[in-house]
Amino acid sequence: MMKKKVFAILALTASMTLGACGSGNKNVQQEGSKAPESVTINYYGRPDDNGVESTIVTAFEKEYPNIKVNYVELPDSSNDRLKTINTVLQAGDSSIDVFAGDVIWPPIFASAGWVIPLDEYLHEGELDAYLPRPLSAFQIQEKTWGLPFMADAGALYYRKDLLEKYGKEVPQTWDELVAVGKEIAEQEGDMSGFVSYWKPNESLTSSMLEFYWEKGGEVVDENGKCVLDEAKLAETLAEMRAMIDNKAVVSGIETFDTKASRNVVCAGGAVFSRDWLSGYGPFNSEESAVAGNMEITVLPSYGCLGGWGVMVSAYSKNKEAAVEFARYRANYESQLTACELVDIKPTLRAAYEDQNLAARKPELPKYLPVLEAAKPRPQSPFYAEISGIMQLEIHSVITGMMAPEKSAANIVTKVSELLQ
Amino acid sequence: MERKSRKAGYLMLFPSALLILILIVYPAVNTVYQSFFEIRTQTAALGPRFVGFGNYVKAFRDEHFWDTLWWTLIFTAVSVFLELIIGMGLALMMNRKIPGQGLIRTAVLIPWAIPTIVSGIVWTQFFSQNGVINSTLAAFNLIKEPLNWLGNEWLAKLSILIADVWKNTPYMSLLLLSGLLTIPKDYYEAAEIDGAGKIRCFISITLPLIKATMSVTVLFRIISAMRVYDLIVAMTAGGPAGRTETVSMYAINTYFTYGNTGYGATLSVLMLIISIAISMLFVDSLKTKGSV
Amino acid sequence: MKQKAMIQKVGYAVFLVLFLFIMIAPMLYMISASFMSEADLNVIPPKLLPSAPSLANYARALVQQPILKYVYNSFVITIIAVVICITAGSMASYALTRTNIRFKTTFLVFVLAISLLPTITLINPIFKMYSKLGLLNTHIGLAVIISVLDLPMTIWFLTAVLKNVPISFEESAKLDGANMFQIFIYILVPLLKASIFSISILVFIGAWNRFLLSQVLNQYEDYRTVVVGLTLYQTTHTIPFGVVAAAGLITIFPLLAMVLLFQKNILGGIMEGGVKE
Repeated sequence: MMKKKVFAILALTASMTLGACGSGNKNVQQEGSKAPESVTINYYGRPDDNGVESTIVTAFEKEYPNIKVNYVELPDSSNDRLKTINTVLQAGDSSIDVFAGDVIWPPIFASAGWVIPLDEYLHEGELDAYLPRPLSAFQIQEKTWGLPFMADAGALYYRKDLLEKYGKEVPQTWDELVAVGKEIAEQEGDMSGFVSYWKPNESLTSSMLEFYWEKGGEVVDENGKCVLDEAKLAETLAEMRAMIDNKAVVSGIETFDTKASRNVVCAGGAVFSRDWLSGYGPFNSEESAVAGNMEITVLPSYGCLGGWGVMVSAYSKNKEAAVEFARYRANYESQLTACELVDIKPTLRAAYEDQNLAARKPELPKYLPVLEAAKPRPQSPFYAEISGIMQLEIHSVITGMMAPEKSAANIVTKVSELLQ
Repeated sequence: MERKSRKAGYLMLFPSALLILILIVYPAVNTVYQSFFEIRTQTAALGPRFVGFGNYVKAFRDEHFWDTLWWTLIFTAVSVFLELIIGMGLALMMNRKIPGQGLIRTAVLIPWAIPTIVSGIVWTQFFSQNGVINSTLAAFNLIKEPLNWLGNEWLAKLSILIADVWKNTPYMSLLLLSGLLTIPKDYYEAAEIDGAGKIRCFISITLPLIKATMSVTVLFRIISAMRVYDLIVAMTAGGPAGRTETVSMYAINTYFTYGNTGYGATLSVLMLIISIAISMLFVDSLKTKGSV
Repeated sequence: MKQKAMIQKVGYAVFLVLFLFIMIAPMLYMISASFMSEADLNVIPPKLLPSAPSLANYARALVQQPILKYVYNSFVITIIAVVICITAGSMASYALTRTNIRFKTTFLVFVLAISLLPTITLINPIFKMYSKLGLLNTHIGLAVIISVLDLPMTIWFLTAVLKNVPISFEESAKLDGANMFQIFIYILVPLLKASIFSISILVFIGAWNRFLLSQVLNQYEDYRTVVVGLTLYQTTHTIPFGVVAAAGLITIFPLLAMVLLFQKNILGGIMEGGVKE
C-alpha cells in the first residue's frame, strides 16, 4: 500500500513536469538564428472590438508571411493591462514582444528600461506623418519610445440647438461655461448645466488638470521636479466644489463613471459635457435623444491628451520582427481599418485628408482642433502615483469632506516628497 | 505499530508540505526580503537599493495606510459578525427537514456562484441614484429624496457591507451546516425528552459541539474578508475620497499601478503580521478543546 | 394552539419567500438584463424589465468571446485544483489527528501563518518560477497554485471535523488488521462525505473566482478562465452590461446544475441518517 502511495506521488510530479514541457512550447517564439524563415511574436493588444485587432494582425501576416503574430487580448481598463504587462516585464520575461500602451506609460517604461527606442529602425521623416501632440507623448529625451495609433483628447461637448435657442456663443472659459450652462438649464428645466464623470479614477485627475491648466498651473518641469502652485490648486479645487454646491452640475457627479455620464447626455439631461473623443459616437447615435445636436469643440485652454500606441519590449527575442509589427500597427492602412471598424481616431495627418474616409466619417475634421489643443499629462515616471494622490484629495474636496486649501497643501506635500 | 503510524503520517503530510513549501513559503520569504529594499519600476534600471527598515518607517508614518487598515478591520469585524449570525440561522434552517430544502440550499449558493465582477456591477446599479434600492425605499415612503448611496461615506460603507454579507453568508452557512451535521441527533432527542426548549438545546448542545468548526470558519472568513478587493473596486473604486479603500487595494495599487514593489512588499508583510496576531486569538480557542 | 401553529407556518413561509427573493434578486436582475437592449439598460431611471426581450445579448456574448472555451478551461482547472486540494488536505488532516507524527501544532500554526500572506505577493515570484518551468498558460500550472491557496483552510477545517469524529470505528478496524491507509480510505472518507462535499464546494467556487492569478498566469486565449474572459467584453470605457449578464449566466448555469446534482446525491443520504453511534 505504501509503495503505491510513493509511486503515485512520483507519478504526479512526473506528469506535472511532462505536462509542463509539452504545453510550454506552444506559443514560444523560435530563436532567429535557428530558423530564419519563420518567427512568432507575441502582441499584447487592445480588446478585439468588432475584430479590429485580429483583422490588422491577419493583414500583417499576409504582407509579412515569415512573421507569425500571436495576438493576446488584454482587458480594456488601463490599470488591468498594466498589471499583466508589468508582471511580465518585471520578470524580464520574453513572452511580450510588442504591446499596446496607454499614452501615460512611456515615461514609466522608458525609465525602467523595459522598452526600446525605435529611432534606429525608423525611416527618414517617418515620424513627420504623425500628428505632433499624440506623438509627443511617446517622445522622451529626444528618443521615440513608441508609435501612437489611437488619438484621444479631452473635449467639450455642447448642445448646439440650445445654444442657438438662447443666442449664446460657445464659451471660451470655464467660468463662462458654468454661467451659460446654469442659465440655460434653469430656463429649460429638468436638466443641468454640465455633466462629466468625477468618480475617483484617472479621468478625475484629467478633469482637474484641465481646470488647473487654464489658470496657468503646471505639475512638473522638464527635469521632473514638482512645480505645483498651491494657491492655484486650491482655487481649482474650490471651484470644482462650488460647481457642485451651486448645482451647476448634475447631482451625483462624484459617483459617475463614463457610462452614467453618457447616459445623462444621451437622455438630454445636460447642456455641456466634458468627455473623451470617443463620446461623439454614442452622443450622436440612433439611440441618443440628442442625436445630431451634440457638437464637439475644444475645452477652455487645454484638454488632456489621451490615446494609445505600440511599444516594443526590451526583453523581446525578436526585436526586428516586433518593430516591423509595431510600425505596421501604427501605419496608414491599420489606422484606416481601425477607424472604420470601431471609430478609433487616427494619429496620422494623412488620414484626416483622405477623401474616402471623410466621405464615410464626415465628423473626422472636427477632431483635429481638439487634438491640437491637447496637452499631455505630466510626463513623470511617477505619474500614476501622482494621479492617485490627486484623485484622493480631489474627491475629498468635491464630496465636501475636506477644505480645498488643506487638500491642495496635502497634494503639494506628497507630490514633492515623491519627486525628490 | 507506533513507528509505522508515524511513517505513514509523514508520508500523508508530504504532498501538502511540499506544495506549500515551494509555492507559498518561497514567495513569502522573497517578499520579506524585498521589503527591505527600495525597488521601483521607475528606478528598475538602477536595480534594488537596500534601505533596511526605511520602508517600515514610511509605512508607520503613512496616514493612508492606517486609514485603510482601520476601515479594513472594521469592515471585516462587522461583515463577519453579521454573516455568522445570519449564516448560523440559515444553517439551522437547512438542517431540518422542511419543505423546499433543496431549493433553499441551491438559492443560498447563488450569491456565491455569481462572479464578483458581475455582482459588483449589479449592486452598483441597485445602489445608484435612480436604482432599485432608492426606488423601493421611496415606494414605501421611507425617504423623500434619493439617497446618495455610493457618494456618501457612511452610506457607501453600508452598501458595501450589504453586498458583501449577501455574497458570503452562503459560505458561512454551508460550513456551519456541515458542522451541524456531525452532531448526533440522539443528543437532541434525549434533551427534548428531558424537556429542554429549542434555545436551551442550541446553547448547551449545538454551540459547544460546533465550536471547532465555527472557529475555523470564522477565522478563514476573516482572512478572506481582509483581502476584499473586486467588490469594492466595482462599486466605489475606493471612494468617496478613498474612504472605502481597503489595505489590499492600497497594496495592489502600490505594487502594480505605482510600480513600487519594495513598499508594496512592506505593506504585505505588515498585513501578514496583523493577520497572524488575529489568528493567534483563534488558535487559542481551538486548543482548549483538547490538544491535537 | 392550532392558530399559533398556523401563524408560525405562515410567518415562516413569508420569511422564506422574502429571504429567497433577496438572495436571488441580483440574479433575477441579471436574467432580465440579459434580454434587454443597450438602450433599455441606459435609460434613466433604470428599467427592470425588457421592453422587447431578445436573445441578441446571448448571441453577442458567444461571438465576441469564446466564452464556452473559457467555461471549459475553468472547469478543468478548477476540478484539478479541487482534487489536489482535497486529496492533499484530507491526507494531511488525517496525519495530524490520527497518527503519531511530531510537530503537529507547529505545522498547523505555520501553515496558517503562511496562508495569511496576501495573494498579491505571490504573483511576481510565481510568474518567474512558472515561466522558467514552462507552466505558464497550462491547465495544470494554474490548478496547482490555486489549490495551494485553499490548502491551509482545507487542512484546518478537516482537522477540526476529524477531531470530533469518534475513534471507535477505527479502533475496531485496527483490531481487524487494517493499516492506516485502508482505514483512511474505507472508513473515514465515507464518514466525512458531508464535510468533504462542503469544503469541496467552497474550494471549487474559490478557485473558479480567482482573478489576479488567472489573469497573469494564463494570458493566452486558449487557456483563459471565465472570470478573466468576462472582463474582456468591456471596450472603450463602457461595459455592455446586457452582454456581460448573458455571458455571466451562461457560466453560472453549469455551476448551479452541478451543485444541484451533487447536493442531492451526497447530502440527501446523510440528511436521513446523521452520524449514528
